[in-house]
Amino acid sequence: MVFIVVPAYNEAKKIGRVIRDLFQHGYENVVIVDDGSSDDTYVEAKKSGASVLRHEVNRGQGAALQTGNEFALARGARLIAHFDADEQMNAGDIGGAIEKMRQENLDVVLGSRFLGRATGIPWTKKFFILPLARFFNNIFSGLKLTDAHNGFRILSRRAAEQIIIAQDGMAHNSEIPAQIKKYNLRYAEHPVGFAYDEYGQGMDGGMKILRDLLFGRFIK
Amino acid sequence: MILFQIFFSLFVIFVLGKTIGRWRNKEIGAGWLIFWIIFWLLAESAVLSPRLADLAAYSVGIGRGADLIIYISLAVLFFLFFRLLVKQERMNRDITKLTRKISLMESDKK
Repeated sequence: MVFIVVPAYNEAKKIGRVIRDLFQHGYENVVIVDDGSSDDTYVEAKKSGASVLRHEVNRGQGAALQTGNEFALARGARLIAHFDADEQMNAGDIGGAIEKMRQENLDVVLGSRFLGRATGIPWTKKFFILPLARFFNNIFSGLKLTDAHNGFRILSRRAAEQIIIAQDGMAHNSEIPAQIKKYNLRYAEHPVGFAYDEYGQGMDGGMKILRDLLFGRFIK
Repeated sequence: MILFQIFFSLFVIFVLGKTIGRWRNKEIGAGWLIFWIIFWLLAESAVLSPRLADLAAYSVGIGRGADLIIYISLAVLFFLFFRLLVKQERMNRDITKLTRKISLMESDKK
């Protein structure tokens, strides 16, 4: 049983289309975690027929993913896919990633924009921010990946039970590879498409991630 | 004794009283009690006898006692600020746990 976990914050305009697209690709168990949105994300997601959880206050993408993981595990998920609510990811990539997982007997598949067909990556991001993020990610996690902070990933049940996302914000994208290494999980990268229509994390976001990772080390 | 020394001594007595009170109420451990007693007694001796601070500064290669006090104060402030941030982060994680629990409980009801 495949569960698609979609954290959503103020995505009322897009969430319906994202859910419909996932249903059209044959995924029945779509879990939206509305992370304390101030718009109609919850209502729109409900209307579209997905399972919808709601954080009463905004806690961040990492927190929403962990909530979605726990919900999916409690309902018997064998595989959990993390997918974004902003229409930048391609639902068609999930099937290929799952296939790869089964063929190679993997615990985790991580999406990579640099192996695949990602289009329109802003040049400052492609040549400056992402290489820097990759460098820090590799140092922090110990995994050498071609991409950093790509939210597309598939976790086996075993992986989702072991990986506990404690980083509430965007630093979970570095925390997850670190836990893959820690628990010696079998992983591979998979090329994914990515359609940029907004900039996403900039330098400010990067600094916050570094700060979160640093303080995270002092919290048990 | 100059006026500043009188006010500072009264302040130290007040702070030490508060600290001992917090230790008695088990709000802080014995380690922190000892740390704060030593800290405030050192601060008091530096204020009562500036020459003592000058000597201590000189022995560690700093020219003036007042400079030594500023350096130590900055280090202590940085340390306390860092502890505060870690505490805030821990509290944030607790809020997340509560939010998640409520969210999952609500989903079970439906």
